[in-house]
Amino acid sequence: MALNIMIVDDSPVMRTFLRKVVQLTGIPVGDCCEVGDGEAALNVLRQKWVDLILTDINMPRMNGEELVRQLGLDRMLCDIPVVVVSTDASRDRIDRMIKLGARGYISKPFLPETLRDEIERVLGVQNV
Amino acid sequence: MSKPNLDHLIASAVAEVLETMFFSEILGDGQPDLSCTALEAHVAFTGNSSGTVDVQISEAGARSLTASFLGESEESLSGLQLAHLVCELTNMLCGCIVSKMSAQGCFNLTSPELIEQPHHESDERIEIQRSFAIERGTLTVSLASSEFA
Amino acid sequence: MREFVIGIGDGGVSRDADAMLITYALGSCVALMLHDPVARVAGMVHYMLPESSQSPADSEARPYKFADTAIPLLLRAALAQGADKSRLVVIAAGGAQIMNDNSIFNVGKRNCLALRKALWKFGLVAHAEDIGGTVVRTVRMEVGTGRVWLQSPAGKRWELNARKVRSAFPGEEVSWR
Repeated sequence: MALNIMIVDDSPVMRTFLRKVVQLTGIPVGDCCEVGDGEAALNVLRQKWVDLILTDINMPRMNGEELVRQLGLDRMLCDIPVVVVSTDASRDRIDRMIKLGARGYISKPFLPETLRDEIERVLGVQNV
Repeated sequence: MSKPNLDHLIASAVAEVLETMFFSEILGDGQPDLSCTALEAHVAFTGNSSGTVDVQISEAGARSLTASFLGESEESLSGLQLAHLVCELTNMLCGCIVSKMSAQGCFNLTSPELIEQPHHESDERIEIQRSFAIERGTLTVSLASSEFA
Repeated sequence: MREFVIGIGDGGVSRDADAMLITYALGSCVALMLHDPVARVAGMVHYMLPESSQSPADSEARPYKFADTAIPLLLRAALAQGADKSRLVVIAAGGAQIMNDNSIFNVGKRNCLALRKALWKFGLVAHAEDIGGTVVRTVRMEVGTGRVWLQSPAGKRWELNARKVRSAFPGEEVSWR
């Protein structure tokens, strides 16, 4: 069954990179949508089902931390697995995001296979 | 933090970012690219310390890194993609540098801004500047921080 | 088992399930191996340098010598033999830093970066790697099963499993089949 993926990052080139990493996993991908901030992400999520969210933290309008907080408060959206992909590698931030409900965390810079493995771990699948 | 330590920290961050996500490396010390085709972006950070990171890169170097990052041929890239790449590169370098300066506290970064007219005059605010030779050009990183006050 | 030796700066693809592809003396060079477990197609290349742009005439005569020409060529050859890109298992070995060379001409490291760059262009990354370090490696790959074994000059042998990234000198010896 194909999974719908959402990529949330204000950098268009990073969104392209993340899309390529998703394809590395071998997960059958249905719809892979891209948005530039947390507010746009919530607008999309109110209209379509998504099976996995990859999100940056530092974004305009609504950052990734607020997005994950809002997801946690919504009964319909709180179970969607979230993997954070951020330049912030501090222990404090990682702990905060996990406490808010993020299931995975990868700090930039990262090897493509590192994110691939994290996505597969969070979704409970393995390609090879 | 002393200047030699900051020099090393910046070099370490550049090497890590280039090798990990751009499959590229520092080739040695370089000189800032004073041509009008160089691209430059700026990010401010706040948290345990605050400051700014500016990254300037030769246009050919930016094209090479963008091709590597996206897995595309250089000829197929648009100027907009190069601009986006330089912004993301600046974002990653700033995050990597700030993370190395302090491993504990969170930090926030502003959205990267492309500087339309890269400046070449000496800037009194810049505390540390390092230039690196990269494939097809030069990468220059400038760091100014309240840590140095 | 039939053995086919891949020489330095050379590469090839096989569908012979009873064959073994071998390449010797991987110092700073890199061996890239591809295997499609369904089509039972295996390919191996032993490239020496990262980029062909400095030697266009040489790269035309010997495309397997340079990472940026060798890897696309090997991929196309494997696909032409019936491999499917979505099924490919990608394994790499080599790229050692030889003779304590810390200069900017560190070919081993540049070969490893060129490997990742070329694979990424095809939307691929290695499933297993044994790269870097200072050891010269010999590599054997079974065409039928895709299993890969490495050997050091001192005689230590080990199997490189997909998803066992950067394995090096595990305790057990594995006999060649």
